[in-house]
Amino acid sequence: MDKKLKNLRQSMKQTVFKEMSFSEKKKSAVKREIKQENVFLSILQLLIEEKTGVELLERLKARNIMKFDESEGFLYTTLHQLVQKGYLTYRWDEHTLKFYKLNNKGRKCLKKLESNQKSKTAVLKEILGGHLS
Amino acid sequence: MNKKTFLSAVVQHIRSKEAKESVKAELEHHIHESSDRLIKKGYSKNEAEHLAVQQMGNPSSLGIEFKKLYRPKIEWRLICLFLIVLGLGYLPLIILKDVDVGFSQDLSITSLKRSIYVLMGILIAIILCIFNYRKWQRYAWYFFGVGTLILIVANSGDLFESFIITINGRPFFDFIVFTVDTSIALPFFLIAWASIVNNLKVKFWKLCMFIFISTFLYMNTINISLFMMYLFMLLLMYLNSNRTHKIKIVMVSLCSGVLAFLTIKNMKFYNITDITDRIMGLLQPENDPNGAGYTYIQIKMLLSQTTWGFQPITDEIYFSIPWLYSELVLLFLTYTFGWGFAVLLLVILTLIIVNIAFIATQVADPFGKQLIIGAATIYAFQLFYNVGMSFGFLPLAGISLPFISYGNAPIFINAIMIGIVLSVYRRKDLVANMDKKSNPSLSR
Repeated sequence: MDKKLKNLRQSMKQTVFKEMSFSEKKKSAVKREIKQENVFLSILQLLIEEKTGVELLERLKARNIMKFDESEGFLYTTLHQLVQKGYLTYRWDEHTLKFYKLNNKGRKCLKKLESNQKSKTAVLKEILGGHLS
Repeated sequence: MNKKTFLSAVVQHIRSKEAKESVKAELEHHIHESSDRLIKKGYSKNEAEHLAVQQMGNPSSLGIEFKKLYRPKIEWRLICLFLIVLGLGYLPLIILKDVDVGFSQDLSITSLKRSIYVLMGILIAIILCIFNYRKWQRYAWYFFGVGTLILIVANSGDLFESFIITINGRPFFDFIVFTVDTSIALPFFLIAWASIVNNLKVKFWKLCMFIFISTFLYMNTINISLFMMYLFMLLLMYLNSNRTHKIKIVMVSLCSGVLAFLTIKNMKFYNITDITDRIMGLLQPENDPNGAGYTYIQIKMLLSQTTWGFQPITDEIYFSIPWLYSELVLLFLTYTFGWGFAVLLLVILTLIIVNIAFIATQVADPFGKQLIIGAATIYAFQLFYNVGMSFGFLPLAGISLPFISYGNAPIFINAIMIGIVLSVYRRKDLVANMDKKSNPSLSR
């Protein structure tokens, strides 16, 4: 039975899967998924002091977080989501700039995340309700 | 894709105008910054803009995300509780059907009436929910005016004889199809005060003056329970405001209220003998077993006979206690369905308060929060006082069990409260912390 399955695998490799390749782009996307957790931890850490979305993005790039490359708009959806969940507050200033900052609930959550290395994923899932995109 | 097309594609599915403008402004700024940087690197203005837009990501996907974020929020748990309780209110009607209570012929009319009230209540809640509650803030003084007007008309006695009737000394408005008492002024005062209490431009003495006027008018209608509900609502809203010395002021008001009551009692200025009689009846029913103490004795007796199971109520019992269908309906249901049911019913009614409190923590807008606190107070006061009354802990007063007691007021007033809470919840995520001065395009 094993041999037949091996043969099937071989033949599929030569036919159906011939065109498919685990490209570099996909590899990095998978690595990014694995790095999910770091993104949100970084955002929370960076927003201890207030920043605009532009500034935040700059700092995230400096931390080598490539998640928002070519999808910078999604940083804002994430920020808005965190505001709605109550972890961030915001204010507008005279130059029509929007500044985000961590609030009490957010700070408590950051503490939890930083001290609780093992169940980071669990805590993050709790924050974003499984919506880790 | 150019900036304009991108932005309109992203925000097109967002329903709220406020959110649309806010998101657009923010993203536009980002694109601006990005293209500035690209221009410095040597790109032309057009190329920079297009590249910056491309870096933003897929506009349709973004649009979907923002649409989800800025959907009007609906609190289904509260709606479910609301509907369940409205349904439970039919129980007294169902039990009465089995009892030969003389007016069983009218029972079908009563059922029909209740169904109409229930539907109207649901309609009121829906309409209020859809309204943009933020718009009420500007008309606070008009709301106050309407509330005061209602009270003045109620106090006017003979002037409006055609549509004011008095029952037990209290004025009622007769609109042919149904009658309402002065409790319809409460929602107007709720909205008015939610705005005015937070408005620091209104000085303390002005506030006191208006409180005094409305309180005085309420007292004159001899509807003590409504008057107390009104005061409680005011006190709690004041505590939630950001005025100075609020705790001290509230304590002082409470103390002076109690003092005032004690002094007036002895002066026989207002006819408070009715109230003092009721309090004495509660504390020492044996002194006047056929007068003030009668009902309290009956309540005690009925409670002692209550079991955990079902027992049908007899004619004799039904006619021995007044108000068994209206204010004391909880007693009625407890006796008939047992303690277990009573606990269940109270849990459901209390869950409504819990839910509203939870909503209050999620709302950032101060006006919205005041509305919720006021609404919660009005509902909670009715519930707790009625429970105390039905189990013989509090003196009898005309406070009905929300949604379940006989009549239109328990349904209408509380439907309005639920509607207001749902309305605030619906918009809780929309532009709460906006500073309108810094962003004139976003002020409405």
